[in-house]
Amino acid sequence: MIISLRSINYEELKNQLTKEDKIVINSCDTCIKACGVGGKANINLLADMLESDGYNVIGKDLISIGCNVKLLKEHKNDIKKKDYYDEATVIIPLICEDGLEAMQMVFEDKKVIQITKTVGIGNLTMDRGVVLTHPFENTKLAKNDEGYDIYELAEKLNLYDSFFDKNDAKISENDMVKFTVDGNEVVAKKGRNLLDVCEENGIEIPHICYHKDLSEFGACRLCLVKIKGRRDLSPACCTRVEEGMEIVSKDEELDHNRKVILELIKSSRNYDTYPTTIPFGTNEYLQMFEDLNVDSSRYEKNDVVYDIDDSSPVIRIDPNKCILCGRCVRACEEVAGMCNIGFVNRGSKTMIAAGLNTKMNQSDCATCMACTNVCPTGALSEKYIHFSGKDFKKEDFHPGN
Amino acid sequence: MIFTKSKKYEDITSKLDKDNDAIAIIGCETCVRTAGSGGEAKLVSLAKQLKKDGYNVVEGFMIPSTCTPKTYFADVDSKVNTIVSLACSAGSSNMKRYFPTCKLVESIDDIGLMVTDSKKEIIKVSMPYADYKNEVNNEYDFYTGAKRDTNDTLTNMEVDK
Repeated sequence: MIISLRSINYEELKNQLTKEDKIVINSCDTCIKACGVGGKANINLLADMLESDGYNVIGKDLISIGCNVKLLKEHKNDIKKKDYYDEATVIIPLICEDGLEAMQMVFEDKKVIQITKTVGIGNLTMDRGVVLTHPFENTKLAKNDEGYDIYELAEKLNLYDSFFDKNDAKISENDMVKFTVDGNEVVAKKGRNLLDVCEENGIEIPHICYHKDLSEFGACRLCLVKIKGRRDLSPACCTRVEEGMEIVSKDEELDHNRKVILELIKSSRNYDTYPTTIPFGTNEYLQMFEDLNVDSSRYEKNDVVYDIDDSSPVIRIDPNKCILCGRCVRACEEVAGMCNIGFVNRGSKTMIAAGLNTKMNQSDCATCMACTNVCPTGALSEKYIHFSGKDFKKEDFHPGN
Repeated sequence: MIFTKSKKYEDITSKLDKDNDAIAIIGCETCVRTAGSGGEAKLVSLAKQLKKDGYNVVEGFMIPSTCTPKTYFADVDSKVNTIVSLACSAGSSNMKRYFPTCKLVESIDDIGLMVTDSKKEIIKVSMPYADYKNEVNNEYDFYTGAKRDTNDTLTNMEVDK
């Protein structure tokens, strides 16, 4: 893991911008996210800060691996992103210095602003976050297997131990709206995603197709809520907050709807056919059944057992666990920039696969893991392999169990 | 990503004891696989060579990224007392953390950071460590780490308009 820290403050960033600049903020979704400087949440935060201060942010883009030139080019030429990348005068990449070099190659006609200092390589730990174990010589730090944490590094190297502080921007009260959820008043920036705002305020609304790093899909219907004045139920994941909304996120009818949806999902797959791998993550699928107290389905079970695609060196696809939420499809398109996987077949035989139902090793997969990172059920998972015995026999193992 | 090169086989075996070491090889699936110094094929080939030469290789693990807590899932056999790391030095540091009672033998050297192009399957060294400063801008092939003769591709690549 490459270890980087923020190297400039908000004022120093603004000093490199003009109000006429057309700004795209993008970020790598790998090491720099673990270092607390990258990721979608930080893209959104910086965009909010700059917009509040009168700057023109025209695009926001999350990239699975920022030091891969191919992926950067795919993003630059993506049909949904090309317009803002073409128009941009400034790119602010939340990325390490290695990725910055790739960014400067691909966006050679733009001003690309460096906001980080890369100090070497290290680990992600359970108790101390990221730590630097093998510093670059210019840091004058010694190698250290235990590692220097972000706070030590910030102090020793005169860098910042976190992302920009939102209080450094002048967010106007005019940008905020007030509304109620289940009778409780909530204040949020106008136009924000209702599901996100509810989560931030401790209001849990079940959902499975929505993921913060991806575009809204509105497919699973689990997050349907009641909004006063609207004729039908609205998916919270596709709703922007407005002044005066009155929202019901939970009642008997909504609970009933959600349980029926979960029963239908449960009947559609032989989920328990093979072990599931979601190490360190939550199996959102199983968690939802637990949360909504659903343990069986009244509907006819689809008994088809699908073949596992084990062809990729690093990714395992088990369609038996796939509930067709489409997160991986959107991640491959939006975060990897590849459109490599999609829905194939129709009806009860619908599943996720590369190309027109080919194997992953025959596809253009860049093994960036954008898909496995967002899968809520373990249908797409990273491979763990064990070799043993006289002939060193190979066998997958499943640490999520 | 992190660019690495394999150590010489003799550098690995010089740290191993045929009579007393019960070995697990732990490999990483990320940067070292791309750089050609690691990955499943390398792990199997190293294990076979060590076994052939009389070393007691008990088992092997491929872990998605050894610089993360995923290394914890390499549930090594209780008789293993030596780990051969097929990972960068950061991955090896993590193995020392998770297997403190085992001797750790590294099989890979860090060169520095690399920019990649997975379409052209080219690696370019961007930020080398001081010992390898002459490697800057050198280009290598994906998955083999073979040096490319001409630096005509990634650095001077055509950006699609």
